[in-house]
Amino acid sequence: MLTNLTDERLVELSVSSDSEAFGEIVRRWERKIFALCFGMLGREDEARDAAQETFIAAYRNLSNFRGEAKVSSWLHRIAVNQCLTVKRRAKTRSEDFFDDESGEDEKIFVAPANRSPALTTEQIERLTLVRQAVGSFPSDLRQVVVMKEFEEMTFQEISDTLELPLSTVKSRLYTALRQLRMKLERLPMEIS
Amino acid sequence: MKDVNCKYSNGIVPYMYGESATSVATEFETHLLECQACTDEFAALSAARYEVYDWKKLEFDPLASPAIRIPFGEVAEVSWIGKLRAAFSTAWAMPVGALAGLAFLVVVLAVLAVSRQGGEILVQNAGNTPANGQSKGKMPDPAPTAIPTSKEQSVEAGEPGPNAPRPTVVRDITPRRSVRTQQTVGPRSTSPRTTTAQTPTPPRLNEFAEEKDDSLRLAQLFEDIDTSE
Repeated sequence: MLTNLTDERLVELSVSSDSEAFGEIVRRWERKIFALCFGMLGREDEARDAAQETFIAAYRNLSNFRGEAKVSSWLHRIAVNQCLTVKRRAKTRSEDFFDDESGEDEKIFVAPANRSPALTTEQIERLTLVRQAVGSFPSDLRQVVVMKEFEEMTFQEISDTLELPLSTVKSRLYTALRQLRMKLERLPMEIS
Repeated sequence: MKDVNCKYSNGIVPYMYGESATSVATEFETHLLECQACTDEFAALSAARYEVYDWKKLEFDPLASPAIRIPFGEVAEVSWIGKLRAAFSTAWAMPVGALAGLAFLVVVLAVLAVSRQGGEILVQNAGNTPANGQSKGKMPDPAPTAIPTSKEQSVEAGEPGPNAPRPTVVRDITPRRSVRTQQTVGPRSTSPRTTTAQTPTPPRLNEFAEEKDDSLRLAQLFEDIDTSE
């Protein structure tokens, strides 16, 4: 029954202490928010924590949701803020999840626990490079890439969520992919 | 990768993700056959996209969704910022806040005006001290017994020495001060003007005998110069 309701209606029910309604919101959005956090942070454990914190923050601030924005935009904004906070904290601890590309290749790379053992060394290196490259993007570009590729949102959905013009979303993704291509062309040479 | 200056380059990304309109997609495909720059750009962006896709497929897709636990029973902690925000989110907060701000502004302006007036008196008193022949380094007497009358001062101001204060200062302040001190020191029944003028009318602070004030001669001189030119 709850599955037929809109996000906005579910929030209204949640405000009036309907925990089932908020549970439905969590079920609808947990995978996408987790994907966003994973793409933004690059580490599974931190992404899980960030997703958890996102929903807790959303629950605690239900009364502040005025319905001016869509629930998806609201959740994404909380998640992005959560990820940026995590990254900021990590920076103060001098720990970069993405192993920045400034030549510190000797840093320990934390591989995802569920990675398939069948991956070749070359694939693992390639994934590391991609993660580093995406991690070095400014957060506005990284956000668009992650929303498009990890959350599989359309341009229109990203535009609505981020409250940006459609053309800006397309141009950000274009810029991000160009930058990624250039970094990937350059990085293997630097490492070798 | 080179910069692509083709007008179709903006259509590469929507086409790549299959989000172009059918007619636009067909037009772009026709263009790709003719434009080498767009073809190269399309290939480069597709390769970059594939890298991200691969990253997601190999590392994210195998992951199980996180088990989100929401503490429903827990009372939400409201920070002081949250309380403040909640207080100002009510309908009455804006007009009350505006009124309070206005009242505060009025009070600040009043305090500033009073302090400025007091400061002027102090500065002008300090400037008058050497010209009036009072001792150096001595604080001006708050209730002097021999305060010169406006007539005496005008005579002194008419012959300014090299270090004498500006005549206009004397004209502005002295009558006001003499009136005040005489009011506080002297008997209440006697009017402050009784020493200089025998009229029983109450003192008016903005009333000056300008025609008797010789200190204006310098200003008049300048006026004469201006008109003569």
